[in-house]
Amino acid sequence: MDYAEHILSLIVALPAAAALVLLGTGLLLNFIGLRSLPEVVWRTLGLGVTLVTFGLVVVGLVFGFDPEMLGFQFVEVVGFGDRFGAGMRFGIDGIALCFMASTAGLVPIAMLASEREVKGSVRSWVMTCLFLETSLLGLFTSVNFLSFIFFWATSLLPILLWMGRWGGLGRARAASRMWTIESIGLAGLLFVAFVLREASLDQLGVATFDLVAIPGASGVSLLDVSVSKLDQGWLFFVLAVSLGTRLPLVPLHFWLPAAHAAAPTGLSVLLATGFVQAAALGILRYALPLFPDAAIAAGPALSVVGIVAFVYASLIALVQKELKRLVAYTCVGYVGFAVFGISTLNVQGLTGAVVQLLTHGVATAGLFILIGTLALRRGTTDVAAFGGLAKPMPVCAFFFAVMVFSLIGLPLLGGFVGDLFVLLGSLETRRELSVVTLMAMVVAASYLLWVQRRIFLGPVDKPGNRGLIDLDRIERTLLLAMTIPIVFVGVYPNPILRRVEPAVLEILNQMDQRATPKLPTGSEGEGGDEGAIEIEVVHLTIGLGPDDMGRRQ
Amino acid sequence: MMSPAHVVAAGALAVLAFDLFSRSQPSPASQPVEGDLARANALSGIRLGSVAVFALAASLAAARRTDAMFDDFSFFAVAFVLLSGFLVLSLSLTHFGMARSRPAEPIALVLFSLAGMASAIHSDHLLGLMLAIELAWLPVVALISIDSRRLSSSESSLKAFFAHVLASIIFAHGVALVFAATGSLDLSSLSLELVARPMLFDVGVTLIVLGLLARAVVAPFHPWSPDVHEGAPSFVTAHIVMALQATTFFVLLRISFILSPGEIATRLTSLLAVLGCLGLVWGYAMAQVQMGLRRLVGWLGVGQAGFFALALVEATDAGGPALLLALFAAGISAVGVLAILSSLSHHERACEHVGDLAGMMQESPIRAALLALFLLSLGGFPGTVGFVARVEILSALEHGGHRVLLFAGLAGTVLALTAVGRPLLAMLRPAADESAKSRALSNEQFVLALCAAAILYFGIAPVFRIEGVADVLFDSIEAAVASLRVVR
Repeated sequence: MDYAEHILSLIVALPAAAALVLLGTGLLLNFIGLRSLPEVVWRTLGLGVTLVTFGLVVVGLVFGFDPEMLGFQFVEVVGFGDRFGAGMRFGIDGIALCFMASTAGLVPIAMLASEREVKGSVRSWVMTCLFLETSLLGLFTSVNFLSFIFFWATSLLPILLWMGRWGGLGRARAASRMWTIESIGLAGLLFVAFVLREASLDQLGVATFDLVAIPGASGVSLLDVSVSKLDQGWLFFVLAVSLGTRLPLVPLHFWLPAAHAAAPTGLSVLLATGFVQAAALGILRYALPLFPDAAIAAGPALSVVGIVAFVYASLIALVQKELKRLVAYTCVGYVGFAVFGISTLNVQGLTGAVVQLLTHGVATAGLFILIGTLALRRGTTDVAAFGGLAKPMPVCAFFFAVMVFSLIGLPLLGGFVGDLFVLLGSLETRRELSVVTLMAMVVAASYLLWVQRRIFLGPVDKPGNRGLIDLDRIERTLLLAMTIPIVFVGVYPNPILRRVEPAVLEILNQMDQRATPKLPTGSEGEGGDEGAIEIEVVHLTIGLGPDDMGRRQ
Repeated sequence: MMSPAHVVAAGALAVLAFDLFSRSQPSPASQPVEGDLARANALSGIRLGSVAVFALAASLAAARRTDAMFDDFSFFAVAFVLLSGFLVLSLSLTHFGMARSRPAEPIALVLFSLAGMASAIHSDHLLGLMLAIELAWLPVVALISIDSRRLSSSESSLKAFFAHVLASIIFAHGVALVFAATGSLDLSSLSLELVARPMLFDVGVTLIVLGLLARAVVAPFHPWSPDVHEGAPSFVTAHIVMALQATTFFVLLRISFILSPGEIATRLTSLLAVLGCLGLVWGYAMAQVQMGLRRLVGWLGVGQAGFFALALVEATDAGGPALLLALFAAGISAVGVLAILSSLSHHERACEHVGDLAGMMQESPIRAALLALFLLSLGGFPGTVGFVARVEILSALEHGGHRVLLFAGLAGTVLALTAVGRPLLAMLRPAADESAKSRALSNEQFVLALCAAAILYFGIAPVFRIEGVADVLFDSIEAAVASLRVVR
């Protein structure tokens, strides 16, 4: 067996397989009358598995990925499901690679961040974490719509379990809301799947959900299926709403603040990153290429929705008195900003949205960890309970500042790159709205800076804040591990851009080929259609040398 | 040569005879205490259950050997019914172990009911079909009231009896009208295109179908079902949801093939679509607000029946195989849920309400996980056989161009998932008090393991294309429906 050929399935299956092995070992030990594995062993082994998974992602995928190549890489077929046109098809492009690396890196961080909050049932918790990692990684790698839905649904269960079993106050209500909205999203995804399956059966004679034509499997893909403009319209709408339930897109966001408020720190980390990124990936991978006409037509509306979400969430965040809810609304706002980037339908906008989801995800995850540490020490997350913490907790204040500055888009931090490209993209196609976006960014920056000043600056006027212990070694390590990529992307974004950009180009190419009116390229004034992509490439390379440029073109 | 129905009925008689001759007379001086009685009943249940299982196995062998009488569809359906009988008998041991009744009568009643079902499945005569259905139902009505210590048991039995009477009246009138129109009582007479009195014929056929739908818990004929779920012991409810309901749909499927492609079939399709949507929405909507666990499962069953009715809309195309798979999926999922509820109710503090599940995740995580699995399968969640079955039904509807029904099915799925979400989330809450804990008995563990393995295996196998047992099931379903097409 050539393991390199099965690297994706290996990475996806590893956490779940390890969870089952751990469970089996525990049961076996019980069965033969020995003591079960101690909790510390479970924690260590679980953490070890997530670290090995991350190592595999880095060594096997990040280093093995060819950034110059368009399309999916490491494509793999697990089984040849022909019953429903289903079956596990794995493959990644540059976008999925970045999301995978981010999630695989954040799962061990989330586990470590939640370690002190988990009291009792450690075995179940470790298994929950591992199953969640498998389902999230499965989502990023699925290039079959039905297996995407499969992982979409299965990722929900560990999250609900984590929240419901180890969450804080209001967890039942939050879990209930989440379950309800996700059920609606799932039904919408299924509806789109049925219609596409039927269309492929009618047009190609084969029922398929594949996004890549794989020889030996069905041999055709959903991209070979043509959908009428009218059908595209409502299918795109249903798909966008279904994916928007998880993004979450205003007005489907109502479950997220409650979920973050009730969720343990580790879960908040993954909700703000992998969970959201999976939904965004769904839009990029399925909604845009499959329904290009509808996507082009809906572009302005999506822009408005994105901007409204950004402004609305920023304004609501301004009046929040509880830190977790405030950061949750920050997530909602920045997801709106990413949707605005996607709606531009050009290389800069899409790339900016992806980078923004990556860096803002990490930054908000960092904020959740910091809030978790504050809650652990102070016993509350009310903004009013804090003040002047920079004196007793200078390291905490430093990391908080880094995360906040990244979120508001300070140059040389990751957030800046995403914001910049989204704005560049919007200047081409949504010039008027980009002005509104800039104003909303000012509002977002103001409330984040306000909250930072309120918590860390000024005198230590509350007795409970005196003598608070600063971050310990583990906490510092976790936050440092999150700060490094933020700074790295801010200073030298090209490794990310070089991997994301071909994937974005491929999406736009697919849209261009399938759309009835050709995509607005933004290059009409500069010599016609064929120059469009090359011009975009020049926009997206920051600091690349002439060799790199020449090779790409 | 004996048919499976004969063998099962003989098995029922053998159980009664065995019990009659092995019963020892207790001496008046030594009145057995409850614990001894329970042990004696459990042992007796195992002995008699073994006889019953032997009868089921023999009847299955008989079904295989009587090729001339049995098409693939009949074999599949009888095997399905006998499998459900096996699960029901396994589950019934809990009831006997709690000294609630002597085992011989319930086991014999289950076997008589199974004999009626086996007879109904391959009956080719309307009067024979009617008698077979009566034989399948009347023992069940008696079984529902077997827990004489509970008022709700007797009450629900009465309701089931009235529902049965209503269904019988409708069916009998239908048979009479068809006979008046065609002069024949053969099932094949339903396919006649030219009859002397077409009006009578149409009304008769409609009444026959309605009579069957009334037994299949399709709305609006369903009100007795949640009450029966609440009042009857778990093994009886399992028998109803897995075997009895399935048998009715087997008969309906056969009739659908006989009627198709006649004009009456088109009209009945509209009726089925309306009743299916009604049941789907009504059942799942009512499940949202149920506090009682058993009633919740009952209302979920009403919603499932709506789905089955929708599958019948495309019965002669992709809906037929989808219906058979859905019956299998819903049956084992519901039996799994009922086995869990049975295992949670050994003590006086029975687990009857959604709130009673609080703390289950901490106290007994394996059973909590299994209950979650069964409920998710009932709701049609991906990764379970319930999802695969639902995909098949919805695909069949989309394939047949019934997009409105597809919408209804998806809306029903959302409602079902939100309904099953309540007990799922309740299990995650901490328990309010330290209540008595019960362990699953061996027979319950067996049923749970079997159902869970089937739900996961048949739920995941199609996605990963795992060959083996999954293919046997799917191929059997295809062959069963193909044999109906041949007959047509």
